[in-house]
Amino acid sequence: MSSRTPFLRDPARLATTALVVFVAAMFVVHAVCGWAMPLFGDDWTYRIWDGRFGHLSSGRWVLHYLGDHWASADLATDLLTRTDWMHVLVTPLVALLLVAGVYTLAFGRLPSARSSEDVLLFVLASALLWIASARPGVQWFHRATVGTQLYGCAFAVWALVPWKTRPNLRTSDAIAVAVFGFLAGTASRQIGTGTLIAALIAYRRVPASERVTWMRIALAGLAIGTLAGYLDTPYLEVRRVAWRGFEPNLVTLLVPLREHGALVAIAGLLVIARAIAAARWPRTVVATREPPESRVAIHTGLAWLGLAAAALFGPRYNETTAFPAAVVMTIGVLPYFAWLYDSRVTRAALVAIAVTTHLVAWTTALRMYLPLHREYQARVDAIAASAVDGVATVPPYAESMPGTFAYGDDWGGAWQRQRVAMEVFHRDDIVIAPAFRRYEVNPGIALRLDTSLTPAQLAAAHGPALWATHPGAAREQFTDFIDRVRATGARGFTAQLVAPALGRPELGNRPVLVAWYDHDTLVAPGVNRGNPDENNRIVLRIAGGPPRGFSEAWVLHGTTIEKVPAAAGLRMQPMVAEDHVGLVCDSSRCFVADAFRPGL
Amino acid sequence: MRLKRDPLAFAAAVFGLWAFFLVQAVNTPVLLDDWYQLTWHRHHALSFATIWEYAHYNYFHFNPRVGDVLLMLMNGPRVIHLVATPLVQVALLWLVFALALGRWPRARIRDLQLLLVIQVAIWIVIPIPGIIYFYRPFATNYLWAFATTLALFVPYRLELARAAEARPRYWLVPVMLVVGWIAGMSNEHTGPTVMVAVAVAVAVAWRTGRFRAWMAAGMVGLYVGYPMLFLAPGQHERYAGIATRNTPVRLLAERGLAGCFEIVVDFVGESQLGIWLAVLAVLLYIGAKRSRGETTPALTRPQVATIALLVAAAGSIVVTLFASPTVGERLFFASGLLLVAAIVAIVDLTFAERAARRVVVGLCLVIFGYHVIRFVAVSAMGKAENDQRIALLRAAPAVSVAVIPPYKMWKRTRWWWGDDLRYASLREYIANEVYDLRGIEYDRHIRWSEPTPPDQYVATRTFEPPLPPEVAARTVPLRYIPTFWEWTLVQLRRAIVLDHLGDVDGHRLVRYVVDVQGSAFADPKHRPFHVLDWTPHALVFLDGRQYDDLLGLPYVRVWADSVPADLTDTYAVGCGTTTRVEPQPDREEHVGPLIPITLACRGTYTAVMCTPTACWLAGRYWR
Repeated sequence: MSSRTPFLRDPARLATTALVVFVAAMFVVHAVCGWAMPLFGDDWTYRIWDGRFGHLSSGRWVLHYLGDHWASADLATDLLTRTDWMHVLVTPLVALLLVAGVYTLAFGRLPSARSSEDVLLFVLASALLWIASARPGVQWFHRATVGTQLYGCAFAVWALVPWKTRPNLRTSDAIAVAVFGFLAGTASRQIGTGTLIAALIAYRRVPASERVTWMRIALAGLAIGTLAGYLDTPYLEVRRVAWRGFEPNLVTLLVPLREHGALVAIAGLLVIARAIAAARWPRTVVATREPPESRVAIHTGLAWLGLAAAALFGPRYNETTAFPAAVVMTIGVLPYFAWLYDSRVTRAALVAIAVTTHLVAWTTALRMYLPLHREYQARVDAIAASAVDGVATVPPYAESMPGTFAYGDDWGGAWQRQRVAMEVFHRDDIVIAPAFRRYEVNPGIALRLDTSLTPAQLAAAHGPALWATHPGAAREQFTDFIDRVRATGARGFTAQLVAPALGRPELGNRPVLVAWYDHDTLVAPGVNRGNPDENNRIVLRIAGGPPRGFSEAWVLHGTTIEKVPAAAGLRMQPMVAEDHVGLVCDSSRCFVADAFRPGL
Repeated sequence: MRLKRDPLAFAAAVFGLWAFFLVQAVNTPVLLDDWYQLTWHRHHALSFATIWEYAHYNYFHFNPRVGDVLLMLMNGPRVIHLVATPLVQVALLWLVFALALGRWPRARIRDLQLLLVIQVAIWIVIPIPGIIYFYRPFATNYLWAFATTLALFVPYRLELARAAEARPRYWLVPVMLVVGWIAGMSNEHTGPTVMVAVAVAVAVAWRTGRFRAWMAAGMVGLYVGYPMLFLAPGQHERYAGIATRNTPVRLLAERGLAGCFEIVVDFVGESQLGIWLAVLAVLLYIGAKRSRGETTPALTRPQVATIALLVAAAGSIVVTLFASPTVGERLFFASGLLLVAAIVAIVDLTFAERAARRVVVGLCLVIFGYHVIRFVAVSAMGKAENDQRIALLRAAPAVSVAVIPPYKMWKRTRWWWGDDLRYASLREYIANEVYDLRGIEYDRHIRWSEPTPPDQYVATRTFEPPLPPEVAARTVPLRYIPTFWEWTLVQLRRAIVLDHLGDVDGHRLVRYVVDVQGSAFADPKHRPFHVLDWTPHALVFLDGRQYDDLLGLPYVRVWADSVPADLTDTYAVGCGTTTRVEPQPDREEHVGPLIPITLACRGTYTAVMCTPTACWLAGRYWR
């Protein structure tokens, strides 16, 4: 006869089992969703990189690779997009590490597998991160977002854990902490700066006599990473934030306020529930603890505000950049949920929140991503079945618009779609049929390379057999091509990408060019097409302004050509769904700024 | 000494707030629904008889809410709006205060601080404070309406919070009966919660021996008023009976769990700043106690009950929205106010600590100041532009097309409604009904403005016994037929009810057919092109509306029950061309067939469905 307590009456064994089940379930769900999640948006940039530099010898390839992927966000995202197993096996572990780190920072210790309270709070930490995410599906599973935000936050919390727990670290451990700090610092400027400030505050709070070597090593790693992040391009968008104005910035901050504030609202409701329980059924409340320190909560709130505001400085601002603030908010509110554990009513509510959130989130994610994987696979199969250097036709995703879990169809833009087609799939273009609202038709401008380079020089520089038919994509292709030519040592050559079909009598005999290289100078500036304003005017802005002397501007659409003012960008007002081309000219040639068919 | 100064400071602050509301009332522009009231005043002198006529017509044929009658009054002689609206806006603070704390505010600094917190909390909790407070149609339909509801409930609250029993106060019986009825007639989504709340209050009063006759009177008024509103005949006729299509059950089924959850999340999201204000106050309070080594006292049962019931009531109104055809923004006002009352009940407790009081009041002063500056600046600018627009419309020659610039503040924000003439139907209405013009157009192409439809409507009346056509046309002359069928119907109903077109000297109107004229629709079979066909017993029209599917592709979606049984062909007309198209099934929401629109240019597209003998306007799409 065994003297062991029956399983169901042994809280410690129940807690351990619950933890094991949760960790296993989380790992499996995240692994499946990670596997099912297609490559989306910025993911392709990393795969296009391969297309651009695949011709390099291994030594030069490694140098280029390290030069372009030294930051943790870039390296992680590249590895996640390069291999499925990394996203399937490593990302779920990183997610678990993040949850464990959040717990540890909230309570100053790791959860005990034998404590039902610890296990519940661990599961709640994960649930709160789901609740606080504005676009949770993208946050947890989209590779480029995961590589920056999820990995970055995991590095950051574990870079900060030693400052909370103050262990006696050996030098080798200290180096590991410093590496975590460096990785956090290079994840994003927002994460790096936030982590560095938190570590500096923690360091200042340590009495001078207790400051030890590992702290300085850890700080150094973090500071180097953060500083390096600031030196990397694109730089901080201070001007954009300043120009946006006070109120628009406040409105932008409403996204994290709304999403993360849900945690505060839930905690507030539970506090009211606890008060009701204490007043109505006093025996259900043990009331063994005082509420957590207000000071800590206020400081956490300020840290949250700082991180949310830091996201405004970009270079990009979207819902996913609020994730570090969500992590801080979760760390801040978790002790209050622990305080609520002492009432039977609120404890039951906590269990319900933890279980329901995961059930809803996980089932929603699986129901979204498994069919999405099939849709993606159908696209890839359709591309594979199409002729090399031909145009592949693929179906749209069922969810073409971005949503809480849906990324939306990322191949709406003609420019990126053609880049992906050419560099990743070696097709001339990809067409989506039936089209969707945000689908942009490729203007299909046939381009010709006129150059003084010899066929041998062209072959040595891997001159493209096909040129993109979208001017933006073609310019990038041309820029890469010129880089490769110059890498062969060629100098003094000329090359120009000509659009013969765009010639018009009104333009005289001037050639219409998408990009050119002349007198060792490359002219292939990026062009930004603004969103339509309230009068449906679209402004094309050439990076750094139009080339010198290009003071004449034209807009072509259908059989019409009209001269437009060139000051402060090239303005047009497309009223019909036909191809529009914006040109700027000097006395000898015209430059194709952009070509597109407006989606009315 | 300080106590002597308190009433003065209190009075000065309240006067300042009233003055601010007065300035805003002076700067109130004529916007959107205001224009419809101007037409009424153009043709009717203000008297009890005309107010009754308006209310009667609205109840049976249009918007039955009492707020719409108030709106008509606010758009009448200016003095009514200038006197009444600021008073109601100030009174709202008193009502929320009484609801939260079970007593009226006293003339002392502490209560002034709480009133400041209430005002700030209202502005940061409700989604569009500038529009709710200073756009007359919303102010009367929501702010006035819920103020009335609170005015009904506050006597119960004060009575139940009172330590000693009050006198019976029989004079309150008729007052409460009327206030209860008005509260019931205020809003569909607040009624159920208020009815439950009043029933609970009466039950508690009964159990504790405090029941008074006025309590029953208020309850009776409310319980009569709300069913009167919910079942008003106007609900079935308004917007061509869209309310009867969007039944609560259908809306619940369409929204599903996720849609309902989204409404709750929206409300919580909108309320965040207010919740954070309360949390900050509590944290500072606990922190101050801790710093002195004191423990935080537990809440008393009445305090807990007050906070919990206010939060539950706010939540209950939000839940009612699950079955409402419209959600969010203005419909969060009532629940927002109840949440503010809960917040104030919490903040009041924390004000026992100076640290909490100072920080919260300081923060509220900053937020209050910012709001006042923004409100005044925005309204002044909006009013100036509105005056300029009205001057242009007045100066335009009769029967001409007036050309106007768009407002600089054309966007809808939390401060301002935006440019209301974005709606082509409103431009048409104002031009014809208010200024005797042929139309109103913007002086430039505007992305956000609906283009004026390219066609015109003509109406043919049939009387029994017949009237000679020229006499029929002369009787109750209509200077134009609105080119939006919803408004064509409104015009017809008004003509029948208010101008007695239904019976002209014994000749009964038995048929009213509206056809499209001057359309670009090229019907190969040259069939008549109808918009609607009305008889006293039936109304035939195709109920189609602009719709984008999940891929964002454009359609006109026609409600299945309005599609002709003998449909033979369907067309889309736009950019000067007529294209025969095949309706597609609505796989997403199963409302009815989708008529695909191919966008070739910016402008208006018309969907047409034809039977062997006639074609019908099925809807429009614009981009």
